[in-house]
Amino acid sequence: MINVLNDVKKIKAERLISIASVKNDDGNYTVYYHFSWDKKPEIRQFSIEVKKGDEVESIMELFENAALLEGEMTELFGIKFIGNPYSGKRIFLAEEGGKKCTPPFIQ
Amino acid sequence: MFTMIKKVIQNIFFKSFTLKYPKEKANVSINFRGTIHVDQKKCIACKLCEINCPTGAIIVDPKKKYSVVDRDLCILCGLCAEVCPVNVIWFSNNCENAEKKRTEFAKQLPGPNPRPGKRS
Amino acid sequence: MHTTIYPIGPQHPSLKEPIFIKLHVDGSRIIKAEFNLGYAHRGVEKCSEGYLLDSALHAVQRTCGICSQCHSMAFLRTVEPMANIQPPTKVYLQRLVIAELERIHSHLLWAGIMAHEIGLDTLFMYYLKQREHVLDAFDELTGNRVHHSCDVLGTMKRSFGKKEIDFLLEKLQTIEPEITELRRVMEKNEVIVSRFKKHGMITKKLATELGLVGPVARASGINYDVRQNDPYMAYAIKELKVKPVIRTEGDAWARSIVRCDEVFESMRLIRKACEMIDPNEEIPKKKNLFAKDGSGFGRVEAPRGENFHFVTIKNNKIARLKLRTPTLANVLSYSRILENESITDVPVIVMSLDPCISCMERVAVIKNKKEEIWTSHELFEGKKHD
Repeated sequence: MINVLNDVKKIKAERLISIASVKNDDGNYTVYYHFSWDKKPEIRQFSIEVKKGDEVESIMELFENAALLEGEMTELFGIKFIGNPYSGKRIFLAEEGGKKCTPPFIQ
Repeated sequence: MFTMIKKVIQNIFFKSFTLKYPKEKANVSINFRGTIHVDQKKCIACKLCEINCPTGAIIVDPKKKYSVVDRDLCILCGLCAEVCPVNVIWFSNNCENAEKKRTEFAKQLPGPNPRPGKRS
Repeated sequence: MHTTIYPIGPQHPSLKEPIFIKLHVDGSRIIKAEFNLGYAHRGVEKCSEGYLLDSALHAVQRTCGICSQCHSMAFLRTVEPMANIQPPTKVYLQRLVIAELERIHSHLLWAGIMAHEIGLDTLFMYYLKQREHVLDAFDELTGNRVHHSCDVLGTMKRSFGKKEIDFLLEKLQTIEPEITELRRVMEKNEVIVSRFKKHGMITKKLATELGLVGPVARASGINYDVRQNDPYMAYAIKELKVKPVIRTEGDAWARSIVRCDEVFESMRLIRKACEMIDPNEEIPKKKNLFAKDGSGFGRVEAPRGENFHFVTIKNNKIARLKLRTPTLANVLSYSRILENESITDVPVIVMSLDPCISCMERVAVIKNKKEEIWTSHELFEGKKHD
């Protein structure tokens, strides 16, 4: 499991904007976090490297709106987030005969 | 109270805001993008419109110099008229283009442009 | 304690778009609320893979019908610096006029449907009559009533001359006295005040914890507007500075008054921008652009909040596009504010948060006259369409 919670606490961000991930050429993923400070104003981008089949720690303790953003990542890419109740559930995609679909961005 | 009485008198004696369609037609601006026309005689078959189309609705035949628009897939965005180097694609402002059968959408509409030089 | 489950949606006469809310109810008091999404997913992010830059712009604009210009401006704010092009000031001013007109039309549509939920159908007709004048202005300026598609990378398709600007100012003159009268109705009418006040409370602490954006946060005391904090395009000019509307009560009535006042602020910005546009100036023609490999992000203020785009470009084509729309940021508050309310208040509270469900996604394909729901693996095998 990849630990991100301690590093995110040191950044001391005010608000989480979004979490996105990109598939690289060699088959692994890069996950991008975007944090914002509203008063300054400033947006900063952080990224971590995730191999296929790895699991990442969820940051829901600090930022509650990471719930659906991480859940969407599990559904479309197949990366699991530990500590998030929405990760692994069906949120956006269709069901086929009662079962969940395979994630479309994997290929 | 007085504003309500004024509005009631206005609504009784003046003409209503809604139109009795289809007897009275709506007045649409002349710049409206209603239907797509291609002037086949001047097309040079450079294929720029086929590369840029977001849905793949326009197909160019380079030997016959003929381009076919599938009006079912076209979303009337106007990007093909913007990139064409000889101004062959133009839009008319006819907003009534419903058909009864799906195969009618493969027919092409007449070509010559009544306002040459004005595109999109 | 015995609870029954009461479903609202996905098809319901009081919702504009499909969303499924499951209420656990004891008598007529709500104990717990859950929600299910995904009835309007269209796969916009997967479809944009491999498109050229201009074609991707026209595909992204069609994510939502009500707020289409804000998606276009967020995409342009991201991609134009990567392609190393800066358009002239007239293009920035024209884009501001279209964006503010869209804010007016979105808030008038919201107010009309809000009146329909309570049962005041005549008020719904009055609001939509004023909205018709705004749609006629769009028809003259851009060529279409919704889905304007008047932008390309680096410039615009048409240049506003004297005839168009006079038409626009005359339409604004027609709608202003009526909207002032309708705002007085929203503030002082006893039926509206008694149904909206003290329902659906969001405190300032809850809004900061969940990271809410848009008029929902501004009605709870948070002073955040992207046009003021992080100015972009024409909002960086000194005369066009925006003063956001802020209230502290936090209930459904405060959210309605914030939206009504934003309409007047938009009209002031449009009149100021029309004075600064020179009708005789020409705008540059469309050029072929080349963007460097890499990634970028940009944000704008949509009528519902902060809209954020993240784009990765490879070989002058789009490799990955991620949209984070304002409704996705606000969706966690639906289950929190419905607790301890009565069932009869549910349409008023859900509509006061102004959901735009088209900005979240699903796929249904019609093939050979038979509708089937396709699995995502079958559909996304690399074909653009079928």
